[in-house]
Amino acid sequence: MKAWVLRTLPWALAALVIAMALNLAIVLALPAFVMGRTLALLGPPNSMHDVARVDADYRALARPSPDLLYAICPYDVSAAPLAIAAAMPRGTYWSVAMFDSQTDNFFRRNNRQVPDGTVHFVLARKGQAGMAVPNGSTLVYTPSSKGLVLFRILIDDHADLARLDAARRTARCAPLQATGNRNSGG
Amino acid sequence: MMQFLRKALLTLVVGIILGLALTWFTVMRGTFGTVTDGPWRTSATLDHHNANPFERATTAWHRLFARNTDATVTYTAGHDSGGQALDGNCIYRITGHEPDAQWWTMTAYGPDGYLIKNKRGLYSVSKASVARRRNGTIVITAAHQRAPGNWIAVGTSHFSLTMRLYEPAPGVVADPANALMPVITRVVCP
Repeated sequence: MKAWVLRTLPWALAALVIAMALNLAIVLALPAFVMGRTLALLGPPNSMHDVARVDADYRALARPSPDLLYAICPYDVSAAPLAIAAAMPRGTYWSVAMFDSQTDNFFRRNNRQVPDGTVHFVLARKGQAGMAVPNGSTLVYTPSSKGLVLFRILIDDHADLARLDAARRTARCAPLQATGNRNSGG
Repeated sequence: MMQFLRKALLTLVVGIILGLALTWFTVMRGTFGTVTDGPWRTSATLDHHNANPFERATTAWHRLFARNTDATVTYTAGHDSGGQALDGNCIYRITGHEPDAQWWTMTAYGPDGYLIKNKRGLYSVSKASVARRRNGTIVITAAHQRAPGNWIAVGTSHFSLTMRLYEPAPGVVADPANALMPVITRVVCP
């Protein structure tokens, strides 16, 4: 019996090491895989994706809320920083959150922190050269070149939907030129 | 030599199976780093970008873009209060007090994590739309067929419910496991 245990133990330990290594590899790779899949579904980066009211046919985001209006900007700042702007509505909950390639939420603001709803950000990697941040913009550093900016507006009163949707449509994102001006479009 | 190779191959296979089982247990089950309030599950901690790898992976897989903050707390239930998986072939009654928040919504999702198609295009019940009892409590029916009163449409397979609390009370943020979430009761199954 003892001899059998001694013969088997190294193999059992090896199996355990393989199991833990595989588990850790999957755990470490999973967030980037999920974000990559989401970004691929959303399409080209650095422009705002117009999202109509989500319904049963909507597939870009998992578990979307039918009671939120979304504005989504997949970003890639490897070539240039990104200017982000919006005029969010008063009187309802809204938020803007930025997620890196590992799905980490590295930055967020909401209606409590920005009561007037005026949003101006410049998103960049640390050390990114040739950047002049426009006056009034908040500089935000992203841990990764790629990720996603997500605006959410709560529809607390369906009678107010037109106003809330108009606010959603003010959300913009576009590469920042070296002069500090935004490129047109987006 | 052949015996060594056979043992090595067996060890590799066992290791892979164990590794996948570990991954299911730590990530795919969706319970890592969460707390429960009856059948409702939520993240145990507020959003932060210093999550450990297991928390990050679980959130990415189950609650992408939906980490709790002091402004929003999200609960999800895939089972009723008796512990049985939610089945769209059954009828459920969701009862209790409204969550302590400025605003809340309850939404049903199919097994694929997306909204469930229904003729009326109704996907959720909210603080604004819910009809309350005289004592202030709520009763919501989750069923495939239209039900009187508050009704959430579900499909004919497994479904889950998500409650989103906006501007929750500080007590909910501090202790999400004791938010007194509604009870989910299976009324009848075919």
